[in-house]
Amino acid sequence: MDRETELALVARLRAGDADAFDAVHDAYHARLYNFLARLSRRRDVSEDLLAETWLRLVSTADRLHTDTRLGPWLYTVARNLFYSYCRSRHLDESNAASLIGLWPTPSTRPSPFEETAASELERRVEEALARLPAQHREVLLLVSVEGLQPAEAAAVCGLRPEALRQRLSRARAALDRELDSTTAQPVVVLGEVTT
Amino acid sequence: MNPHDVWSDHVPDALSILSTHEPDPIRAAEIRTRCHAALRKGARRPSLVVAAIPDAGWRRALAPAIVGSLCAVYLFEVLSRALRLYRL
Repeated sequence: MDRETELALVARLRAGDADAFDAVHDAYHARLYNFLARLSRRRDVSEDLLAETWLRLVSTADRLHTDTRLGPWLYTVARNLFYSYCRSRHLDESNAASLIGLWPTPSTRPSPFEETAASELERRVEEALARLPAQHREVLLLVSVEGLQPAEAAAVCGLRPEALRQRLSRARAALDRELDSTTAQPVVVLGEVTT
Repeated sequence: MNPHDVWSDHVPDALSILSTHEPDPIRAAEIRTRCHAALRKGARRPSLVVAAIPDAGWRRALAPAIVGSLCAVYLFEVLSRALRLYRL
């Protein structure tokens, strides 16, 4: 979504335009769901938090700043809702790894062998990601999966850009270690898989 | 370079293979409907706010006036009792 379109959508959202909401919803619904689901590792929780995120958007739509960046705004709300949820339930999010296996299987794969390799590699990555502390997981998800700029991710996490850069480096190193620790067999790189 | 600047080349590649999962479409449609309703409700709010402005101004003046009157009555009563006590 280019900046001009985004600014136009913000203006229309402020005026209560349902079509503008639909456009934002279409652009971010699945992305926010994946972010929340990988953060919480619970489909039911992520669906609830996602619903609350959208309701927060419409309840404050008329008070949005005209230059609001919708992506970072939505991720900030979603992230804060996740941490509020954890606090309210006194959850130790580090137990998230035990919830692996709740994911539906992806739908499009080219061949059975590639499917097996991709599935195995993806499972390992998901497991490694789930074992990380939430603070590491969130920066990896925001920057490396959701594609936010580091400055935007820093704003979402309430960090200074330098602090985010350091946390991101630590998170990458931690994920690397987790991936190495789960290497029972050589990792099959997707590009090398042929049938 | 600080000790935390560890860059693992294959980490971004590993994360890029993660699949995108679709949320429940029925739930998504429900949320969309609720949000549309909330937006419609919000769109009506400005006219209500405009209508309420004179009322709000009147209330803003009324509350201090009532409190001020009660304070004046209380002060008058305290002073009159004090004067009576000292027989002035």
